[in-house]
Amino acid sequence: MNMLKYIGRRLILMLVVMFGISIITFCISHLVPGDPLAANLGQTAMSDPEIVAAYEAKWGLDQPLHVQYINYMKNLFHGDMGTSIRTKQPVLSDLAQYIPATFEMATIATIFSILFGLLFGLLSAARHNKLPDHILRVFSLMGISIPAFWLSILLLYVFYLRLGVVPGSGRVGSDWLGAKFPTGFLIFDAIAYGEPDLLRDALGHLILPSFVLAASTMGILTRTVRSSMLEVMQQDYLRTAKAKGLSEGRILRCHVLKNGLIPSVTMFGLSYGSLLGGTVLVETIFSYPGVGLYAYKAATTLDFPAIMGTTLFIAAVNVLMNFLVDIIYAVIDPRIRY
Amino acid sequence: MSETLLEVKNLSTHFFTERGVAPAVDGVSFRLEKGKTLGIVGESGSGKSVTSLSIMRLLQEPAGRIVDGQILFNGRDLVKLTEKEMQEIRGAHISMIFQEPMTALNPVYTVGTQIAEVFIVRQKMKKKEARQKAIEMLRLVGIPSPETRVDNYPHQLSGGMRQRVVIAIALACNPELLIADEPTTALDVTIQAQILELMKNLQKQLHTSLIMITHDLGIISEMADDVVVMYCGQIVESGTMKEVFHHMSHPYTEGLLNSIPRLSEEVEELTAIEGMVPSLYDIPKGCRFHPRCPYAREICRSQAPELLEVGPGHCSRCHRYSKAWEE
Repeated sequence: MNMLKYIGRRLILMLVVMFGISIITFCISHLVPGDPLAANLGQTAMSDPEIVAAYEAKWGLDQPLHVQYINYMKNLFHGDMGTSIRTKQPVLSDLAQYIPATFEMATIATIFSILFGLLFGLLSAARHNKLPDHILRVFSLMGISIPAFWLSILLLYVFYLRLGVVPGSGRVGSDWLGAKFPTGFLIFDAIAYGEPDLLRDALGHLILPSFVLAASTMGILTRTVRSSMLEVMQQDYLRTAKAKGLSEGRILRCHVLKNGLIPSVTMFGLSYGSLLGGTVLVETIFSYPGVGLYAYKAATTLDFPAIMGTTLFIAAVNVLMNFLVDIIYAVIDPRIRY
Repeated sequence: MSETLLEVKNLSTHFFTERGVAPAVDGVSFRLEKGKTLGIVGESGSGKSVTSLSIMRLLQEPAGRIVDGQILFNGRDLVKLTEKEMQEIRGAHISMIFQEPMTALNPVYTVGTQIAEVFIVRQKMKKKEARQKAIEMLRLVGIPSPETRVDNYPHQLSGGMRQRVVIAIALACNPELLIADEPTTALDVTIQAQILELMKNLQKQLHTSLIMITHDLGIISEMADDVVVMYCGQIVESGTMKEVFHHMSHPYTEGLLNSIPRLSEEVEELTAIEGMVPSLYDIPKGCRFHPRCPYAREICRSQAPELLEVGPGHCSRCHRYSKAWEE
């Protein structure tokens, strides 16, 4: 019962946060110095006041900012995120088209980073100040400090250009261009409809961008897991566990892991959000048709409805992840009372 | 003549750190007979805890290492055992209770789970059966309504209750030897008495031998059959409790006793032992106690005293009992 109340309260708070984010995004995107007219109209059209007025009226740019915002929110509550100035499509259907691609990449990157972050962190802590720890420390530092664009270019150069073992860009190879996919989640579609070629093709396109996306998070997670595990290893209750005559493996599995994971769970949750943000850069470099690339194009053309749509989407995922983290927290740490 | 359960012979445990080598335990020897209680007394830093951790082989390796000596448990030298063999001993044959009940239990498991773990791992019990045994153990250590307490997390229990749980874990497999390292220091005085009473009763009931480590001579006089007084990693006085208390021979033991407040006597002020325990990296030459000793003479500053027999089974490391003293 307590738990349900807690969840309910958190859900209401989430709405408040989303509302705040919508205001901030709306203001920032409309206040940046930049002229959507110049970005979208040609030079001849710009010099014709009639076209300019018609354009402003069409996109509501002639209204005061707060009226624009209220109109936007009204439409949003009716499930209408507006029409993209650039693609002339409803933002909602644009997002629906790109979300599966980004979701696939971010999920694979998250699995990469959590799996290896956890594994490396544990190994580092268990072999504290020994060779594996030193090696992993260098790797995690590299993961954190190498910029994504540089890593992308390096990996593309080695694995695509030199070795030719992975495809270069896009989401699918030329064989599948223009094909219609039932759900848009290619890995799911490939497995559900028994298309091993598609699966191989899609995974091949995903591996490099996911790895680049995961690299820094993997490094950060390795460090977090390592330090929280080391902290747990200093605790008195581990001496109690040893005094019980438990083996080192059992102590690590049963007594260190659960306690050490508590601080790391926050990182796991937040990493998903930051990965989504990271897709803007990675998708642009790999010409991967996802929300990130869409957001990049929207930003460069001052396509307000699209900017709002992608920002709200990424913010919603972040808020949702935070919410999940808090629930997981409450489940694994009995000391937390809601 | 009763049987010897534990015999520590010339044990030396050193810590190797960046500041140098600290001889935390330096040539310590004592015996414990089956069913008896040995008290180890000393200030913090005297090496009493390190002695117990050495017996359990729970030192923070590689910094802390046993460098010399034997620990004969039922005739078996624990120093020579592998970690795997030691795991068979810990919990099953030798158990330990620690000073801090607030942090000695894992916060994310119920106390029942933590007691049951011993039965599951050591006696290969099924979960359900182990839970029943855990409830029994909670009842044994005097926790009210154990059927509901078994599902409590440590943070839901008071310090005294937690220490009872720690005792339950330690006694779960009915060990032959229980080492209690300042088990009541962190507790309220009223709770202290309860816990000591509980330990005394359980010891009688289960025929466990006990090593009681404390800085409180009052506890020793209540519980112990034999006493070992440690200072700076060495034994400075040892003997039966009665001998040591009635014919106190070492100035350090005197100092410890004089620093206990007593209601029966009208004392103007408590006499504390002057000075502090010296750093193990910088041990005084000669007698290690001489900078704080009211009787110190020239010989104490230059020559380290031996452990001398001053009464039946009663030894003291003090020059006052050597021939050289009057010279």
